[in-house]
Amino acid sequence: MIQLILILLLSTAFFILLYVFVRRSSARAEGGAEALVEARQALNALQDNLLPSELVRRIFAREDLNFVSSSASGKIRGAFLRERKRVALSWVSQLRKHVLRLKQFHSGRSRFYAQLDLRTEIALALSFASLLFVCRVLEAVFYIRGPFAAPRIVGAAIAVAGDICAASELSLAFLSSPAPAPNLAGGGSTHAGTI
Amino acid sequence: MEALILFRCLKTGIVRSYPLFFAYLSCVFLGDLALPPLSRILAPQPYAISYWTKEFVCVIAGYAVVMEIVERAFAYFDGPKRLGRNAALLIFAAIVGLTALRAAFEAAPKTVGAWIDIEANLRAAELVILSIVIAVIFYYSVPIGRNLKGIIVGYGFCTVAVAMNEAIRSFAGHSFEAAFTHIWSYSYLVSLVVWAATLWSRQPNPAAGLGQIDGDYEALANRTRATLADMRGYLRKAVRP
Repeated sequence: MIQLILILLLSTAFFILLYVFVRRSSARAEGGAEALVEARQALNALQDNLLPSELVRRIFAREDLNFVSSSASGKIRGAFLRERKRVALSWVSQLRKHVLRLKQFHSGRSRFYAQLDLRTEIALALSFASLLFVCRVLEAVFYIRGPFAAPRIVGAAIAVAGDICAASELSLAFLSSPAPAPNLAGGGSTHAGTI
Repeated sequence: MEALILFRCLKTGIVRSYPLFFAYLSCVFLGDLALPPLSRILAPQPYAISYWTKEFVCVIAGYAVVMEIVERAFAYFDGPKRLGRNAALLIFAAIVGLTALRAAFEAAPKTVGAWIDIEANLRAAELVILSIVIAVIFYYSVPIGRNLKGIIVGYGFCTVAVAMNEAIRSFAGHSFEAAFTHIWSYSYLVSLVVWAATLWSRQPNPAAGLGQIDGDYEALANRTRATLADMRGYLRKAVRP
Protein backbone atom coordinates (compact mmCIF):
# COMPACT_ATOMS: atom_id res chain seq x y z
CA MET A 1 0.00 0.00 0.00
CA ILE A 2 2.84 2.40 0.92
CA GLN A 3 4.58 1.56 -2.36
CA LEU A 4 1.36 2.26 -4.25
CA ILE A 5 0.88 5.63 -2.54
CA LEU A 6 4.51 6.62 -3.12
CA ILE A 7 4.41 5.71 -6.79
CA LEU A 8 1.08 7.47 -7.28
CA LEU A 9 2.45 10.60 -5.59
CA LEU A 10 5.62 10.44 -7.66
CA SER A 11 3.61 9.90 -10.83
CA THR A 12 1.34 12.85 -10.09
CA ALA A 13 4.34 15.09 -9.40
CA PHE A 14 5.96 13.89 -12.60
CA PHE A 15 2.79 14.56 -14.60
CA ILE A 16 2.80 18.14 -13.33
CA LEU A 17 6.50 18.51 -14.14
CA LEU A 18 5.91 17.08 -17.61
CA TYR A 19 3.03 19.49 -18.17
CA VAL A 20 5.21 22.46 -17.16
CA PHE A 21 7.97 21.12 -19.40
CA VAL A 22 5.61 20.91 -22.37
CA ARG A 23 4.36 24.44 -21.68
CA ARG A 24 7.92 25.76 -21.40
CA SER A 25 8.63 28.51 -23.85
CA SER A 26 10.65 27.64 -26.89
CA ALA A 27 14.27 26.73 -26.46
CA ARG A 28 16.74 29.54 -25.97
CA ALA A 29 19.49 29.21 -28.50
CA GLU A 30 22.40 31.08 -27.11
CA GLY A 31 25.70 31.80 -28.65
CA GLY A 32 28.65 32.64 -26.46
CA ALA A 33 28.42 36.37 -27.00
CA GLU A 34 24.67 36.31 -26.57
CA ALA A 35 24.96 34.48 -23.27
CA LEU A 36 27.54 36.97 -22.05
CA VAL A 37 25.41 39.91 -23.14
CA GLU A 38 22.42 38.45 -21.35
CA ALA A 39 24.44 37.95 -18.19
CA ARG A 40 25.64 41.52 -18.36
CA GLN A 41 22.11 42.74 -18.99
CA ALA A 42 20.95 40.84 -15.95
CA LEU A 43 23.63 42.49 -13.88
CA ASN A 44 22.86 45.90 -15.32
CA ALA A 45 19.21 45.42 -14.55
CA LEU A 46 20.07 44.30 -11.04
CA GLN A 47 22.09 47.45 -10.54
CA ASP A 48 20.02 49.99 -12.38
CA ASN A 49 16.52 48.89 -11.62
CA LEU A 50 17.07 48.94 -7.89
CA LEU A 51 15.09 51.70 -6.37
CA PRO A 52 17.28 54.57 -5.25
CA SER A 53 17.73 54.60 -1.49
CA GLU A 54 16.09 58.01 -1.11
CA LEU A 55 13.01 56.77 -2.91
CA VAL A 56 12.87 53.64 -0.76
CA ARG A 57 13.13 55.77 2.36
CA ARG A 58 10.34 57.94 1.05
CA ILE A 59 8.03 55.03 0.30
CA PHE A 60 8.30 53.67 3.81
CA ALA A 61 8.50 57.00 5.61
CA ARG A 62 6.26 56.94 8.65
CA GLU A 63 6.38 60.74 8.78
CA ASP A 64 4.17 60.80 5.70
CA LEU A 65 1.58 58.70 7.45
CA ASN A 66 1.81 60.86 10.55
CA PHE A 67 1.41 63.99 8.46
CA VAL A 68 -1.60 62.64 6.56
CA SER A 69 -3.15 61.31 9.78
CA SER A 70 -2.80 64.64 11.54
CA SER A 71 -3.96 66.93 8.77
CA ALA A 72 -6.44 64.96 6.67
CA SER A 73 -9.68 63.08 7.11
CA GLY A 74 -9.91 59.34 7.72
CA LYS A 75 -11.01 58.82 4.13
CA ILE A 76 -7.87 60.44 2.79
CA ARG A 77 -5.76 58.51 5.28
CA GLY A 78 -7.34 55.28 4.01
CA ALA A 79 -6.64 56.21 0.41
CA PHE A 80 -3.07 57.11 1.34
CA LEU A 81 -2.53 53.75 3.07
CA ARG A 82 -3.96 51.85 0.11
CA GLU A 83 -1.71 53.69 -2.27
CA ARG A 84 1.40 53.20 -0.15
CA LYS A 85 0.60 49.52 0.23
CA ARG A 86 0.39 49.19 -3.52
CA VAL A 87 3.74 50.91 -3.90
CA ALA A 88 5.34 48.74 -1.18
CA LEU A 89 4.06 45.59 -2.86
CA SER A 90 5.44 46.80 -6.15
CA TRP A 91 8.80 47.45 -4.48
CA VAL A 92 9.05 43.96 -3.05
CA SER A 93 8.02 42.46 -6.36
CA GLN A 94 10.90 44.39 -7.96
CA LEU A 95 13.23 43.00 -5.32
CA ARG A 96 12.03 39.48 -6.10
CA LYS A 97 12.59 40.09 -9.78
CA HIS A 98 16.19 41.07 -9.10
CA VAL A 99 16.79 37.96 -7.02
CA LEU A 100 15.39 35.93 -9.90
CA ARG A 101 17.73 37.70 -12.29
CA LEU A 102 20.64 36.93 -10.03
CA LYS A 103 19.62 33.29 -10.09
CA GLN A 104 19.34 33.30 -13.87
CA PHE A 105 22.72 34.96 -14.04
CA HIS A 106 24.31 32.28 -11.90
CA SER A 107 22.67 29.31 -13.64
CA GLY A 108 23.24 30.88 -17.05
CA ARG A 109 26.95 31.17 -16.37
CA SER A 110 27.63 28.13 -14.26
CA ARG A 111 26.14 25.70 -16.79
CA PHE A 112 29.20 26.27 -18.96
CA TYR A 113 31.57 25.12 -16.24
CA ALA A 114 32.71 21.55 -16.54
CA GLN A 115 33.63 21.29 -12.87
CA LEU A 116 30.25 22.03 -11.34
CA ASP A 117 30.04 20.96 -7.73
CA LEU A 118 26.81 19.14 -6.94
CA ARG A 119 26.72 20.20 -3.29
CA THR A 120 27.42 23.83 -4.12
CA GLU A 121 24.79 23.86 -6.83
CA ILE A 122 22.16 22.26 -4.61
CA ALA A 123 23.01 24.68 -1.78
CA LEU A 124 22.76 27.65 -4.13
CA ALA A 125 19.51 26.40 -5.63
CA LEU A 126 18.07 26.05 -2.12
CA SER A 127 19.37 29.50 -1.16
CA PHE A 128 17.72 31.08 -4.17
CA ALA A 129 14.51 29.23 -3.43
CA SER A 130 14.54 30.33 0.20
CA LEU A 131 15.32 33.93 -0.70
CA LEU A 132 12.49 34.01 -3.19
CA PHE A 133 10.30 32.55 -0.49
CA VAL A 134 11.35 35.33 1.91
CA CYS A 135 10.36 37.84 -0.72
CA ARG A 136 6.95 36.21 -0.88
CA VAL A 137 6.75 36.40 2.90
CA LEU A 138 7.61 40.09 2.71
CA GLU A 139 4.83 40.56 0.19
CA ALA A 140 2.44 38.86 2.60
CA VAL A 141 3.64 41.05 5.48
CA PHE A 142 3.05 44.19 3.43
CA TYR A 143 -0.29 42.92 2.26
CA ILE A 144 -1.56 42.01 5.72
CA ARG A 145 0.13 44.55 7.99
CA GLY A 146 0.68 47.36 5.55
CA PRO A 147 3.83 49.21 4.49
CA PHE A 148 4.39 50.92 7.84
CA ALA A 149 4.13 47.82 9.98
CA ALA A 150 7.90 47.37 10.09
CA PRO A 151 9.66 50.68 10.74
CA ARG A 152 13.15 49.21 10.26
CA ILE A 153 12.24 48.21 6.77
CA VAL A 154 13.46 51.56 5.48
CA GLY A 155 17.05 51.09 6.60
CA ALA A 156 17.02 47.43 5.63
CA ALA A 157 15.68 48.21 2.19
CA ILE A 158 18.40 50.79 1.59
CA ALA A 159 20.97 48.27 2.81
CA VAL A 160 19.58 45.63 0.45
CA ALA A 161 19.80 48.05 -2.43
CA GLY A 162 23.37 49.01 -1.58
CA ASP A 163 24.40 45.42 -1.03
CA ILE A 164 22.93 44.21 -4.30
CA CYS A 165 24.71 47.01 -6.14
CA ALA A 166 28.00 46.17 -4.46
CA ALA A 167 27.56 42.46 -5.11
CA SER A 168 26.73 43.00 -8.75
CA GLU A 169 29.81 45.18 -9.09
CA LEU A 170 31.89 42.32 -7.65
CA SER A 171 30.29 39.76 -9.94
CA LEU A 172 30.81 42.05 -12.85
CA ALA A 173 34.46 42.44 -11.96
CA PHE A 174 34.77 38.67 -12.04
CA LEU A 175 33.03 38.51 -15.38
CA SER A 176 34.61 41.54 -16.94
CA SER A 177 36.14 40.90 -20.30
CA PRO A 178 38.92 42.96 -21.87
CA ALA A 179 36.48 44.53 -24.31
CA PRO A 180 34.49 47.51 -23.02
CA ALA A 181 30.88 46.65 -22.31
CA PRO A 182 28.28 48.45 -24.41
CA ASN A 183 25.51 50.40 -22.75
CA LEU A 184 23.03 47.51 -22.71
CA ALA A 185 20.43 49.28 -20.65
CA GLY A 186 19.46 51.26 -23.70
CA GLY A 187 20.20 54.61 -22.16
CA GLY A 188 18.94 56.31 -19.08
CA SER A 189 21.05 54.13 -16.83
CA THR A 190 23.08 55.81 -14.17
CA HIS A 191 25.28 52.75 -13.65
CA ALA A 192 25.84 51.77 -17.24
CA GLY A 193 29.06 53.70 -17.41
CA THR A 194 30.62 51.74 -14.58
CA ILE A 195 30.06 48.37 -16.30
CA MET B 1 2.58 3.47 -35.67
CA GLU B 2 5.87 2.22 -34.23
CA ALA B 3 6.93 1.10 -37.71
CA LEU B 4 6.10 4.55 -39.08
CA ILE B 5 8.18 6.29 -36.39
CA LEU B 6 11.08 3.91 -36.96
CA PHE B 7 10.85 4.52 -40.70
CA ARG B 8 10.86 8.31 -40.22
CA CYS B 9 13.82 8.05 -37.84
CA LEU B 10 15.75 6.12 -40.49
CA LYS B 11 14.69 8.39 -43.34
CA THR B 12 15.45 11.69 -41.59
CA GLY B 13 18.67 10.52 -39.97
CA ILE B 14 17.31 10.93 -36.44
CA VAL B 15 18.59 7.42 -35.81
CA ARG B 16 22.13 8.77 -35.91
CA SER B 17 21.39 11.30 -33.19
CA TYR B 18 19.30 9.01 -31.02
CA PRO B 19 20.44 5.41 -31.67
CA LEU B 20 19.45 4.16 -28.22
CA PHE B 21 15.94 5.52 -28.55
CA PHE B 22 15.73 3.84 -31.93
CA ALA B 23 16.93 0.58 -30.36
CA TYR B 24 14.37 0.93 -27.56
CA LEU B 25 11.49 1.50 -29.95
CA SER B 26 12.67 -1.38 -32.16
CA CYS B 27 12.78 -3.58 -29.10
CA VAL B 28 9.20 -2.69 -28.13
CA PHE B 29 8.07 -3.07 -31.73
CA LEU B 30 9.64 -6.50 -32.14
CA GLY B 31 8.23 -7.58 -28.79
CA ASP B 32 4.76 -6.46 -29.79
CA LEU B 33 5.10 -8.35 -33.07
CA ALA B 34 6.43 -11.54 -31.53
CA LEU B 35 4.42 -11.91 -28.34
CA PRO B 36 0.86 -12.39 -29.74
CA PRO B 37 1.82 -15.40 -31.91
CA LEU B 38 3.91 -16.78 -29.04
CA SER B 39 0.92 -16.61 -26.72
CA ARG B 40 -0.89 -19.02 -29.03
CA ILE B 41 2.05 -21.36 -29.54
CA LEU B 42 3.65 -21.50 -26.10
CA ALA B 43 2.33 -22.92 -22.86
CA PRO B 44 1.54 -20.33 -20.15
CA GLN B 45 4.83 -20.82 -18.27
CA PRO B 46 7.23 -20.38 -21.22
CA TYR B 47 5.08 -17.53 -22.49
CA ALA B 48 5.32 -15.80 -19.12
CA ILE B 49 9.11 -16.13 -19.28
CA SER B 50 9.12 -14.64 -22.79
CA TYR B 51 6.82 -11.83 -21.69
CA TRP B 52 8.89 -10.87 -18.64
CA THR B 53 12.13 -11.18 -20.58
CA LYS B 54 10.79 -8.71 -23.11
CA GLU B 55 9.57 -6.43 -20.32
CA PHE B 56 12.97 -6.35 -18.62
CA VAL B 57 14.85 -5.86 -21.86
CA CYS B 58 12.54 -2.90 -22.50
CA VAL B 59 13.18 -1.53 -19.00
CA ILE B 60 16.94 -1.74 -19.49
CA ALA B 61 16.60 -0.20 -22.97
CA GLY B 62 14.49 2.51 -21.30
CA TYR B 63 17.35 3.33 -18.92
CA ALA B 64 19.62 3.56 -21.95
CA VAL B 65 17.16 6.06 -23.47
CA VAL B 66 17.30 8.14 -20.28
CA MET B 67 21.11 8.15 -20.44
CA GLU B 68 20.89 9.18 -24.07
CA ILE B 69 18.56 12.03 -23.10
CA VAL B 70 21.16 13.19 -20.53
CA GLU B 71 23.97 13.00 -23.09
CA ARG B 72 22.08 14.83 -25.82
CA ALA B 73 20.33 17.45 -23.67
CA PHE B 74 23.56 18.55 -22.00
CA ALA B 75 25.83 18.00 -24.98
CA TYR B 76 27.13 21.59 -24.76
CA PHE B 77 27.08 21.79 -20.98
CA ASP B 78 29.60 19.50 -19.36
CA GLY B 79 28.80 20.47 -15.78
CA PRO B 80 25.05 19.80 -15.90
CA LYS B 81 25.77 16.68 -17.97
CA ARG B 82 28.04 15.34 -15.25
CA LEU B 83 25.41 16.15 -12.59
CA GLY B 84 22.63 14.45 -14.57
CA ARG B 85 24.73 11.43 -15.45
CA ASN B 86 25.95 10.93 -11.89
CA ALA B 87 22.46 11.31 -10.46
CA ALA B 88 21.07 8.84 -12.99
CA LEU B 89 23.79 6.27 -12.34
CA LEU B 90 23.49 6.68 -8.58
CA ILE B 91 19.73 6.14 -8.61
CA PHE B 92 20.00 3.27 -11.06
CA ALA B 93 22.69 1.59 -8.92
CA ALA B 94 20.64 2.17 -5.77
CA ILE B 95 17.46 0.69 -7.20
CA VAL B 96 19.25 -2.30 -8.73
CA GLY B 97 21.11 -2.86 -5.45
CA LEU B 98 17.93 -2.64 -3.39
CA THR B 99 16.08 -4.97 -5.76
CA ALA B 100 18.97 -7.46 -5.66
CA LEU B 101 19.10 -7.30 -1.86
CA ARG B 102 15.38 -7.86 -1.65
CA ALA B 103 15.61 -10.82 -4.01
CA ALA B 104 18.49 -12.25 -1.96
CA PHE B 105 16.81 -11.96 1.41
CA GLU B 106 13.30 -12.83 0.36
CA ALA B 107 12.13 -15.93 -1.43
CA ALA B 108 13.07 -15.92 -5.11
CA PRO B 109 10.63 -13.70 -6.99
CA LYS B 110 8.90 -16.43 -8.91
CA THR B 111 5.37 -15.11 -8.68
CA VAL B 112 3.99 -12.75 -11.27
CA GLY B 113 3.17 -10.29 -8.48
CA ALA B 114 6.83 -10.13 -7.46
CA TRP B 115 7.94 -9.40 -11.02
CA ILE B 116 5.30 -6.69 -11.33
CA ASP B 117 6.59 -5.25 -8.07
CA ILE B 118 10.17 -5.17 -9.35
CA GLU B 119 9.15 -3.57 -12.62
CA ALA B 120 7.11 -0.95 -10.77
CA ASN B 121 10.19 -0.07 -8.68
CA LEU B 122 12.43 0.13 -11.74
CA ARG B 123 9.92 2.37 -13.51
CA ALA B 124 9.58 4.56 -10.41
CA ALA B 125 13.37 4.97 -10.31
CA GLU B 126 13.26 5.89 -13.98
CA LEU B 127 10.67 8.55 -13.16
CA VAL B 128 12.93 9.99 -10.46
CA ILE B 129 15.85 10.15 -12.90
CA LEU B 130 13.70 11.78 -15.59
CA SER B 131 12.40 14.28 -13.03
CA ILE B 132 15.98 15.20 -12.09
CA VAL B 133 16.92 15.57 -15.76
CA ILE B 134 13.92 17.83 -16.43
CA ALA B 135 14.67 19.84 -13.27
CA VAL B 136 18.29 20.34 -14.38
CA ILE B 137 17.08 21.38 -17.84
CA PHE B 138 14.83 23.96 -16.18
CA TYR B 139 17.37 25.22 -13.66
CA TYR B 140 20.12 25.78 -16.22
CA SER B 141 17.70 26.90 -18.97
CA VAL B 142 19.12 24.31 -21.32
CA PRO B 143 17.85 24.81 -24.87
CA ILE B 144 16.13 21.68 -26.16
CA GLY B 145 15.22 20.86 -29.75
CA ARG B 146 11.86 19.55 -30.86
CA ASN B 147 13.12 15.99 -31.38
CA LEU B 148 14.57 15.65 -27.91
CA LYS B 149 11.61 17.36 -26.30
CA GLY B 150 9.32 14.89 -28.04
CA ILE B 151 11.40 11.94 -26.87
CA ILE B 152 11.38 13.22 -23.28
CA VAL B 153 7.64 13.96 -23.24
CA GLY B 154 6.64 10.74 -25.01
CA TYR B 155 8.94 8.56 -22.98
CA GLY B 156 8.04 10.36 -19.75
CA PHE B 157 4.32 9.91 -20.41
CA CYS B 158 4.81 6.27 -21.31
CA THR B 159 6.93 5.63 -18.20
CA VAL B 160 4.58 7.39 -15.81
CA ALA B 161 1.63 5.45 -17.23
CA VAL B 162 3.47 2.14 -16.82
CA ALA B 163 4.65 3.01 -13.30
CA MET B 164 1.13 3.90 -12.18
CA ASN B 165 -0.35 0.86 -13.88
CA GLU B 166 2.22 -1.53 -12.43
CA ALA B 167 1.78 -0.08 -8.95
CA ILE B 168 -2.00 -0.44 -9.10
CA ARG B 169 -1.67 -3.87 -10.72
CA SER B 170 0.74 -4.98 -8.01
CA PHE B 171 -1.73 -3.85 -5.36
CA ALA B 172 -5.03 -4.91 -6.96
CA GLY B 173 -3.82 -8.13 -8.58
CA HIS B 174 -5.71 -9.86 -11.38
CA SER B 175 -8.83 -7.74 -10.92
CA PHE B 176 -6.96 -4.84 -12.53
CA GLU B 177 -5.63 -6.91 -15.44
CA ALA B 178 -8.33 -5.95 -17.97
CA ALA B 179 -8.25 -2.28 -17.04
CA PHE B 180 -4.43 -2.36 -17.19
CA THR B 181 -4.49 -3.56 -20.79
CA HIS B 182 -6.78 -0.72 -21.85
CA ILE B 183 -5.02 2.03 -19.91
CA TRP B 184 -1.62 0.88 -21.13
CA SER B 185 -2.80 0.73 -24.76
CA TYR B 186 -4.21 4.26 -24.69
CA SER B 187 -1.29 5.80 -22.82
CA TYR B 188 1.21 4.14 -25.15
CA LEU B 189 -0.81 5.41 -28.10
CA VAL B 190 -0.48 8.95 -26.72
CA SER B 191 3.31 8.49 -26.52
CA LEU B 192 3.41 7.16 -30.07
CA VAL B 193 1.42 10.16 -31.33
CA VAL B 194 3.84 12.52 -29.53
CA TRP B 195 6.83 10.73 -31.05
CA ALA B 196 5.29 10.64 -34.51
CA ALA B 197 4.58 14.37 -34.37
CA THR B 198 7.95 15.44 -32.98
CA LEU B 199 10.20 12.99 -34.82
CA TRP B 200 8.68 13.53 -38.25
CA SER B 201 11.56 15.75 -39.28
CA ARG B 202 15.04 16.28 -37.93
CA GLN B 203 15.30 19.26 -35.60
CA PRO B 204 18.47 19.05 -33.56
CA ASN B 205 19.14 20.84 -30.30
CA PRO B 206 20.13 24.48 -30.65
CA ALA B 207 23.87 24.77 -30.30
CA ALA B 208 25.34 26.84 -27.51
CA GLY B 209 28.22 28.68 -29.08
CA LEU B 210 30.10 29.36 -25.89
CA GLY B 211 32.74 26.77 -25.12
CA GLN B 212 33.85 25.73 -21.71
CA ILE B 213 35.05 28.59 -19.58
CA ASP B 214 38.45 28.35 -18.05
CA GLY B 215 37.57 30.77 -15.28
CA ASP B 216 37.18 29.90 -11.69
CA TYR B 217 33.78 28.38 -11.03
CA GLU B 218 34.43 28.44 -7.30
CA ALA B 219 34.79 32.20 -7.44
CA LEU B 220 31.43 32.58 -9.17
CA ALA B 221 29.72 30.23 -6.71
CA ASN B 222 31.30 31.96 -3.71
CA ARG B 223 30.32 35.41 -4.90
CA THR B 224 26.74 34.30 -5.47
CA ARG B 225 26.62 32.54 -2.13
CA ALA B 226 27.94 35.60 -0.30
CA THR B 227 25.44 37.86 -2.01
CA LEU B 228 22.58 35.56 -1.13
CA ALA B 229 23.66 35.38 2.50
CA ASP B 230 23.87 39.16 2.81
CA MET B 231 20.55 39.69 1.10
CA ARG B 232 18.91 37.13 3.33
CA GLY B 233 20.31 38.91 6.39
CA TYR B 234 18.91 42.22 5.31
CA LEU B 235 15.57 40.71 4.45
CA ARG B 236 15.39 39.08 7.87
CA LYS B 237 15.94 42.50 9.42
CA ALA B 238 13.27 43.91 7.18
CA VAL B 239 10.53 41.55 8.33
CA ARG B 240 11.35 42.09 12.02
CA PRO B 241 10.14 45.50 13.21
